[in-house]
Amino acid sequence: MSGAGTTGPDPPPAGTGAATAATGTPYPVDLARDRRARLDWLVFLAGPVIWFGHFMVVYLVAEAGCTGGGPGFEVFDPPVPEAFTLVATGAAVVACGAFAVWSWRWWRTETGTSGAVADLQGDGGDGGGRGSLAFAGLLLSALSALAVVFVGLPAAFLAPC
Amino acid sequence: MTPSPGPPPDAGSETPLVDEPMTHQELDELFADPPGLWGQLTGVQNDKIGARLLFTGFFFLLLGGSFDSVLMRLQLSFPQSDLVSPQLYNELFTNHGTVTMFLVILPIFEGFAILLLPLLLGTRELPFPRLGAFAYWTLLFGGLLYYSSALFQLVPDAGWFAYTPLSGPDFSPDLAMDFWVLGLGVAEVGAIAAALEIIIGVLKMRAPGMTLSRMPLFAWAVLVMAFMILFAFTPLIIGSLLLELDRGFGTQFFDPEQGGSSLLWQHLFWIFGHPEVYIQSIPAAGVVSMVIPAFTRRRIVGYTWLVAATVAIGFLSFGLWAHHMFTVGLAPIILSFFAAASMAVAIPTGVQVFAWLATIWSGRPVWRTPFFFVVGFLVIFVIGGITGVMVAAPPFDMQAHDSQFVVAHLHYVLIGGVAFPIFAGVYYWFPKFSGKLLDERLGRWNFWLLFIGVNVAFFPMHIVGLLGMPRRVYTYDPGQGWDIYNQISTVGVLAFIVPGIAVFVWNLVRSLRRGEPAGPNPWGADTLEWAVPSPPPEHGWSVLPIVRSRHPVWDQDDLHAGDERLERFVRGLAGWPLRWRAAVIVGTADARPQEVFRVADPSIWPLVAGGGLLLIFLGELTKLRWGIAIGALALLGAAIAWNWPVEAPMTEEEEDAFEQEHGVPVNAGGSVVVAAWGMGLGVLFLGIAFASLLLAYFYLRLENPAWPPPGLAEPGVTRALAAAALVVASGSAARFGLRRLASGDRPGLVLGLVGALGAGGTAIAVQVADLVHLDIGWTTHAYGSIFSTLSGFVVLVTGGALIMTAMVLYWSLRGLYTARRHAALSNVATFWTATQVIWVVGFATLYLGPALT
Repeated sequence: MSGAGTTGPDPPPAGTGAATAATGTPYPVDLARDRRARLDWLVFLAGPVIWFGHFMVVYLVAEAGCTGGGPGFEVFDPPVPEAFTLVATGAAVVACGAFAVWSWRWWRTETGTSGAVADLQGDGGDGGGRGSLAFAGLLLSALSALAVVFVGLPAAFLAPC
Repeated sequence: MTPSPGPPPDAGSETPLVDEPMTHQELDELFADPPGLWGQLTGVQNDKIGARLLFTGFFFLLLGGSFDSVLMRLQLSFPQSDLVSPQLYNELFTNHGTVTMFLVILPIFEGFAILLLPLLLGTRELPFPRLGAFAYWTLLFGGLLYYSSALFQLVPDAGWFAYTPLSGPDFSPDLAMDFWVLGLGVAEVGAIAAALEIIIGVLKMRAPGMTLSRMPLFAWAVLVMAFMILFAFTPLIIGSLLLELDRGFGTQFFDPEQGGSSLLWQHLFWIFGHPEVYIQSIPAAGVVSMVIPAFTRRRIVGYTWLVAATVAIGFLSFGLWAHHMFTVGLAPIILSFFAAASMAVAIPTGVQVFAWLATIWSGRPVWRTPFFFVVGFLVIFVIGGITGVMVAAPPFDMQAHDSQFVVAHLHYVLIGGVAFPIFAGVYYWFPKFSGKLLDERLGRWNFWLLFIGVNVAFFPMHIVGLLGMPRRVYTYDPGQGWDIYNQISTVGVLAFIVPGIAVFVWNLVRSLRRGEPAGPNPWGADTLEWAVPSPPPEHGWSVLPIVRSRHPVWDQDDLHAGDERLERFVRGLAGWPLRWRAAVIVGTADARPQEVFRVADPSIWPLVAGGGLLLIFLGELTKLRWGIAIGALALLGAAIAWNWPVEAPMTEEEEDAFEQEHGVPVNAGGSVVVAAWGMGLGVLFLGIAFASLLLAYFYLRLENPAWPPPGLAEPGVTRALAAAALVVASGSAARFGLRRLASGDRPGLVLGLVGALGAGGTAIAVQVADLVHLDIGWTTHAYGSIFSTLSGFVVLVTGGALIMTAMVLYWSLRGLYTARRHAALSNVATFWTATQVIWVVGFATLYLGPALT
């Protein structure tokens, strides 16, 4: 558990922008150059970001189809809103699922499933590894997939406008 | 390294305390603000700013929360009562909602965050102390400007969500609503400033070893809160801008007769308004997650689940706004989108509640006042949450909308879900900052009076609401079966809630004077703040802690022990440097030290900048438009003086020596990392504002079949294309200059900056000439209003880029920047990139939008 993330100020791995001021580099390591940190955040937040993107897109298309009038807006007329919503929902669920699988694998590699049980019991170790973030990413991707289905499913049953 | 997961020690018995080396006193003085009145005006220390925010929030609570509600309840206790007039009643409910939503809960939680984070995270300061001071002054000025309406008998009366057209120029022609828009506008800027401080503080300033997944849940909660403030308050600022333009400059954004849309205001308001509820309840949940482990002697169950739930609520809350608009005639499919998202948010909320319950269930509860408030929170909040799921269903909502049922729901959520955790937090952390315990007996009176009072006051509103009583009516006829419920509610407020608040205030006053002394860790809690003395020193930590656990105070025998090099680093930093305020930046995810940097000193400029901002809004309020110009100059001057480079208190060689020894770079001139993060978030703020304007454009376009309106031609693109090309060129020139500096070519830097200034200035001139030539007119139709406003926004952003460029050009000519120290230049280059995108997308929308549709 005392993995790479927990030790002292050793030089970070090669290729992560580790050059320090002594060599004249104006940027010490920061997120913009730290690929590992960026991946951590990607896996963690991808699900909710997809959810929000899906929500806004289907809402705006429905608004364009139901409220928008005048030339140029015929392309959004029904049945476009419900058809688009269903297609976008399918795509978003697949994307959330892909991130769920990715974070699942990452989490298994880092901590194994025992980590989840310990976390649930409140004895989740020292929390120093990256497994926790991956596990949170798994939970968020799964919830986002569910919420995407929640939002998109009525399009299969309701008249849009 | 792995700590034992055994049971935590009993209260106070084995708390490892911080080291206090010889330099402790020196550091304490170094981080203290100057004494006297001058120190009060220039102070930036986080304890001072945090405590001020808390006190100011409570002050506004007593003013707006208590007084108004007592009068309203007295008025409603009997039918046909004439205690207050209809007009006064309108003012009371408007003021009550406005003050509690804008001026009470938000500053209280930002205050908690700014006060607590450095101790909780194991760092000495937050990244931008002056920004924290600016946030406080603007909140205070905004609140006072809003409240000054009472002096002129111009109290806002259109409800806390200020729906148009009621709040527009036709139906609220006097200045009352201007006080609302402009006073709150100042406070909103402050809220965003504090949010930036909190975000970078949590992400970049933690103890070595405190990885994201070891971070206390309160820090997670305020991190999510701060991001939500950024994403929610910005659309509100844009909405308020459009409303004020309608009111003061004759634009037509919200007038359907002239192509505007009153629903546009509702969208912009609720994109802020619904997340606002979660902006308040998420940090409250963070407090609960801190209190429960301390009082159940048990590690929190499902830490990772709670983190995920907090983040999920943050995101989902941005897809709920139109559930406040279910009755305005939205299309069925749109109703279903928002209803589904509104119900989905119950899932992560349920996860939180069950995690807390499981922790209590499997722990050994210690029944002290903070824990009482947490249990009260669980009961009341769950009831409020369940009625929330009920009103998320459109058919039910259409029945309950605008009835007292909704009043009951929102008070259960906000009092149970927010006020009770605030009380829990005050009882929990008061000993840390005062060194005194609050009285336990008075605390229980406080709790029981409030717990009974809230239920007696608000539960009957569910029933009377279902019986048909609307909200926001100043009186009602007898014989409808409403009387008794209203009387019970009034008894709840007068007999329980008012005495409950009075007991709380008395407890604070009494305990400050002669409370029982609190040791460092009176509750036997698990997080870092309990290891430092109560009250803590100004700098918090002489020797930074090295975190190896989620519960360092329970699990670590020595808070400064860890990896050998890390130990050397934190001990080295305790004795060096002692001439300037050094703090540490760590890696976002891995908490590895990345940089030692100098945090800002006390300064008068945040106060002057806040005053300048106030003058701008005051000038608009009084329609003395030259006042706006003076305010803008004061704000600009203060911003320049605030950021005026001071000579680094250490040579590059001295910095290198520390780095050679400890492996962590030093930037005595100021951090490059937090500067870049600050600019990044600033650009994000601009991006959100810009997106809100684009959304307004899109919405107005939808509502108008003819676009542009009859009589106006589509705009020609020739000049706009030339201007866009010039802006692209100026951004490229700025980046060229930066690249030249990296290879030591100073003339190349100057050339690039001069090129950026020239091309950017010409672009603005060409674009403004084209706008004058087009002569669209902003007052005749919403098309012209949005065209002018969006153009003005883009030009203003570009003007900001030019001012920054002129500043860095001046400093470049004075030889300030080196290949190593040039954070300001990098920031200006970043800003230019954002400006290019905003310009191209903005004018492409305006010039090509009509042609494409």
